[in-house]
Amino acid sequence: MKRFFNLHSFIALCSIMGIAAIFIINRLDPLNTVSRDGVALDTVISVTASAPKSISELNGILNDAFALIEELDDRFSMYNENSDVSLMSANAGGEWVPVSRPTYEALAAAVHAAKLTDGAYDPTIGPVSIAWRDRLSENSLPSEEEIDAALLRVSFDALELSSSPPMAKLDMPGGVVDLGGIAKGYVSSSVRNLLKERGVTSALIDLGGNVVVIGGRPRNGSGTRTPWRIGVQHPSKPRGTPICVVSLSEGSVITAGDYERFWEVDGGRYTHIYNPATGFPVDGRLKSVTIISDDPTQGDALSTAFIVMGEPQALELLRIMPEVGAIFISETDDEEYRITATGDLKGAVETTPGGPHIAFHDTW
Amino acid sequence: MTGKKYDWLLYSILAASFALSCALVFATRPKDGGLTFEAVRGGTVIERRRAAELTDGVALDLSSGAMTNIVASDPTGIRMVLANCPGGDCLRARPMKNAGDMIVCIPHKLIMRIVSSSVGAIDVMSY
Ligand SMILES: [Zn+2]
Repeated sequence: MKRFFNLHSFIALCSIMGIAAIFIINRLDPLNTVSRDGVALDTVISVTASAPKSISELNGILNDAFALIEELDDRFSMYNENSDVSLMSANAGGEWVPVSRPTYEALAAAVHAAKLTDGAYDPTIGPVSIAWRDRLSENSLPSEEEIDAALLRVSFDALELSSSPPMAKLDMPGGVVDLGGIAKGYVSSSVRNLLKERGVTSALIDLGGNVVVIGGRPRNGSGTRTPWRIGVQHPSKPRGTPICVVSLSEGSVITAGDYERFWEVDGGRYTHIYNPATGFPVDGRLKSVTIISDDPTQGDALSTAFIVMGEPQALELLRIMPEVGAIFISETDDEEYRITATGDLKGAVETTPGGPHIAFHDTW
Repeated sequence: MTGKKYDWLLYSILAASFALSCALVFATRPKDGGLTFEAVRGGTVIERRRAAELTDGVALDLSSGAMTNIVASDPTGIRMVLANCPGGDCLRARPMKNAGDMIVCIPHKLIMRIVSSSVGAIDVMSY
């Protein structure tokens, strides 16, 4: 009898210690989380950061992150006439322009992406995007002559860079630098670096749908982490409706979609993504491309380039880029959607209830 | 007899522990409950209320200084009804009705959105 009682005492003691441990872990877990939203880069931005730091320390880190976003926005904006990018365009065909280090880095990444994609992404697309925007905003379309004239001024080969001191030159009279296809990616990468340097262990950075995650999602302060779950927007359903979901603890998820920003004129729909070879907005079955990788800057440029290139050519290029995963959402004949993903994303991407089946494509 | 007495104590402790665990799970459960309207300016939430409170005819003044923004609800949803921003894009934005819907006044750096209070399976959208 005594032995029996001791065993029960032991079990009871274990239970009590277990409960106590749960309390202690919950009380002592030092992880705090802060979150902030704002408007920059012509879009809505949101940063959530967790670290074993005080709330006021974390708020200080977010202050710095948002200051960095605004600073980079000022440097990259086509619409701010004093930005590095505007000064380059103002001096197109002329002199070297001193630029900030971040602008130099973003331009270097842009030129690299342009070469990699054989110009499907082109940071000098500015004259074309402006020609279309000016006409579409007054409910008309640019003429063939206007498009041809704009196309003559598009060439990433004319973009020259010099590293120290950082300088850039657009050797193309009438040329316009447009970092729109890479700016958000570069800024999110910079924010990630800042957060990590300051000791943030878990974060979600959302710059208008360009998503970068750090360190998994903390669960109820219990110290355990699960991957972040990132929905990929359905091309034709209301904002916030996913067509598939990506689970990722660390990295970036960048989507370019022809549904995201567009103009409607005379029943025609004109997206903001232009084909640098034709000077026309893309108009294909491929509705969106999502790039999953560690490099949001490249991911931003690649997502745009892949929409222009189309799925088969993009998959071909991905064969030499095993570190890059991609999801292609295409419209089918019966107005349904088809999802193709690179083989490395097996287990990381899943369809939504009732959503299309995902076909995985091994690229290497 | 001593054993029986301690058994009783033992089961009491286990029952209490179980109750405590349940309470803990309950306290940390995902909170569920309808849709919430939020307005954010300069990183600060300036208005948050249950979307259900914004019924037909109710208007909310989210103006700040010289920046005028007034939202109101009608059967199509919550929309911007008065704004003095250049371009007035927010006035033409689609009314908000469902979780994830958003209206942004970029010139006034004002974000309005409907968020679901229930913990969804998704942390963020890529678009
Ligand atoms: Zn507005």
